[in-house]
Amino acid sequence: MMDVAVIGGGPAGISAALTLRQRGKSVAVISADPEQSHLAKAEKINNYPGMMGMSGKEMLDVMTKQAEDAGVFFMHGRATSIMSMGESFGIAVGSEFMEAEAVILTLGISMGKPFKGETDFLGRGVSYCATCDGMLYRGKNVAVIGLCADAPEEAEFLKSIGCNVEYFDRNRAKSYEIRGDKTVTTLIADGGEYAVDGVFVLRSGVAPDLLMFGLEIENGAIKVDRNMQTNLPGIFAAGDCTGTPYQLPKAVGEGNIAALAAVKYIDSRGDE
Amino acid sequence: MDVTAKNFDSIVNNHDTVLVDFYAAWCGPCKLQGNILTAFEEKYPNKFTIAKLDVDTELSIAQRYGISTVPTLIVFRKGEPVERAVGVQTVDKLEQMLGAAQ
Repeated sequence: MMDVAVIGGGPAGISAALTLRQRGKSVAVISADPEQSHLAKAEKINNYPGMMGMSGKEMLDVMTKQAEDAGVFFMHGRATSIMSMGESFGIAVGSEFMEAEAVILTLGISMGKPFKGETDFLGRGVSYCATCDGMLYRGKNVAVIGLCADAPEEAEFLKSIGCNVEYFDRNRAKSYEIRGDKTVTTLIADGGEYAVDGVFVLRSGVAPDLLMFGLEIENGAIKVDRNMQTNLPGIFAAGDCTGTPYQLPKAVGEGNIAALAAVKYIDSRGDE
Repeated sequence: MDVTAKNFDSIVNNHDTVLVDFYAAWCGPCKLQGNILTAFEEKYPNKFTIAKLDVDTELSIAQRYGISTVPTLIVFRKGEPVERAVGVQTVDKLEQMLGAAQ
């Protein structure tokens, strides 16, 4: 078990991880798609003290290396579910499972609105996890809407276990609608109809309140107090996912505060 | 306990209330659910009958109950499915599901 799991490998997460290491805590940073993070796509950043005129990608590389050198464990994968198991938290990452005493959510900006019908049919034909649900669609028609770097690989996995896959990459359609009766029957992509038994929607991340049941969201952002504590004890959040301003120095600062609060939380439990 | 196609019917028919966890080996959220069920059993030792079914090896049973995602939890009362929950469920929700069935 790790002391802290940090969900999201952007600047807030890395900042949190560095402070945690400095305080002697073990930390795993779970990151699905660093190339898709907003920082990685920024051309030049001029308001970050000490790093002048670098591209977002360059900064992310430097920060990541610093964290690795400090003993931060990086886990590549998408966290799909976090839940309390009593004395610790369990986190499902892809097909793996990990456990941590505290969790810091540094998810970045949320990944866009669900498609029409997506939430209605979640669990009844709509899935976010190819490795979880794939074998239930063997021999059946499925659509894969691939909106993250790992999506082609997951589509290949589905094909390899015998699903008939219709793949939609980012460019193939602009609008989607999912229809069905008791379960999914049809995907409408830019007006074109596809008869399917299942739709796998593969984004970089899962919405915060779906990721962690009971997490309080306000104005589309994770609600935190001044110590980056969410409404759930042991769960902290930092960076863009706590709201505006969406700025790099703010993310780094919040990551530090969340880490210190997580250390305090863990140490106070040790005294009990 | 693990159930298979061989003993499924006898388990659900011979116990008043059974919670069946439909899972798959490759499924991360299922592992999370498994750990939560273990924590639940520790909280209520020997009070409930909880069974696990691997949908990959026991596909016929999974198809019988229309399982389209994992994990899915179904509460059986006197052999009949009375409540179903899709996705990972918290300890609170498990208490609700099993309390409600009794």
